[in-house]
Amino acid sequence: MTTPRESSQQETNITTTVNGEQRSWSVPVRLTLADFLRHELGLTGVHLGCEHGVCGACTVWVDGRPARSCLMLAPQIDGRAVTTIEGIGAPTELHPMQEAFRECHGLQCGYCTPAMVLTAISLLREVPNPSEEEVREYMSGNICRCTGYNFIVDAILRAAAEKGGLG
Amino acid sequence: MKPANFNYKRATDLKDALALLAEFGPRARVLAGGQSLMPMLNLRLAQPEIIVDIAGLTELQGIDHTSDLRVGALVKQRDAELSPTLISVCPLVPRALRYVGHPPIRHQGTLGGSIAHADPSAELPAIMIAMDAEFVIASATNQRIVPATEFFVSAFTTTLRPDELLVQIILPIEKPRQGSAILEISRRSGDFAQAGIVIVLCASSDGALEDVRLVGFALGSTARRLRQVEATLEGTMPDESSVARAREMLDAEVGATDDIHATAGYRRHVLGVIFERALTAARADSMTGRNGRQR
Repeated sequence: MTTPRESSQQETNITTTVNGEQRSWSVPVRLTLADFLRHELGLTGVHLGCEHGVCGACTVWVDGRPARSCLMLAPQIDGRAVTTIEGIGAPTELHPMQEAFRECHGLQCGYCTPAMVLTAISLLREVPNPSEEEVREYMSGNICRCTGYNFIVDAILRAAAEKGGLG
Repeated sequence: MKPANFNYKRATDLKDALALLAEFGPRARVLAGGQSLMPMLNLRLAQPEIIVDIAGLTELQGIDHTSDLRVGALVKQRDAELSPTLISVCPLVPRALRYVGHPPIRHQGTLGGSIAHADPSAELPAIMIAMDAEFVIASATNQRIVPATEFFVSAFTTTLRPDELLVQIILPIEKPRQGSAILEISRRSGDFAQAGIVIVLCASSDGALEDVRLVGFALGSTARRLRQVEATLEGTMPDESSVARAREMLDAEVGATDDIHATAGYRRHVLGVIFERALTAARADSMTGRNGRQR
């Protein structure tokens, strides 16, 4: 899909590793990372909700840290590594966190789920055995409008207790 | 495309960044962690001609505790929150950071970015004022050190000139018998504060309060010391009547304002409640040493 561009718009070259594969692209400097991942790379597991950092649905990892891809410009990922939900698991090969979400019914419509899964894995890397309160605090930046959060919290606690070693 | 059109310059080092700011001045905006600037760009509240990306500046990294305690402006908030050095010698910083956005926001947001942005409801400006931190500010031709108490002018306004960059934060090391607390009220975890309070104090051996510093935030255009309340508390042993007097003074000294998030009356009420809780917590903190040791 091509993005509408203005003729006067500055472009820049970036070399980036996305889900383990390094490539180079020319991007408009004001393209957000979220739009780059979705429109240029077709990684539609990156979901856009609010586009100003409130809902958390577009969370990806940049150099292993969780990042809202709507709050980053594509030029900023030059020389860095990005991981999206497509780099975490596949329908036939679910990541243990994805399995836990399925087992605990930690999703309904699924819109917030890719970002929930990525953020939850980040949490367990930082705090391998979190309390329920720590889970709720860490996940507070990711909004879900379906589940009421309880089953999401259950899934993360289950992943921590049963699946271990998510890193 | 979400943001309005701009040109993008990636600064290679501090000298390059300062040269770019000298050249473009008010036409440029500095991009660090982007957690405040990017929403403003996406909403087109900010439409700068030029973005100067300083994220790659290694000179602005690191926490240095060799002689005094200096933190680079680009240190990520999450890294500062989890820093053993800061937890040990300047624990108010990690305590305040727990209120800043959410963990993924803190993984990208920087200390200097939040300070220079100067949101009236932000926690970092408030604790910097309470601790008497100092900021190292550089331009292509000059370097100056500005106390936090003189840095914040008004909402989103500081004494930084368009050609200047906040490069380093000088933090005071916690003194023996010093304790601190920060508390705020917000609708949900990570939301902007509706009212907030910071207390730094020392408790003498008999339990009397000394060197009391009280800062209110999210109450007006900028965080500020509440000196009349401080004077009410100074030298006293806190009991029911002295705390009640301090709350009356707090009510009188805080000119809370109405906005879409809360009424002035609500703000004043919850401020009194969190003030009492913070006072108790700061006093308890001053009685126990670092890492919970009894003093």
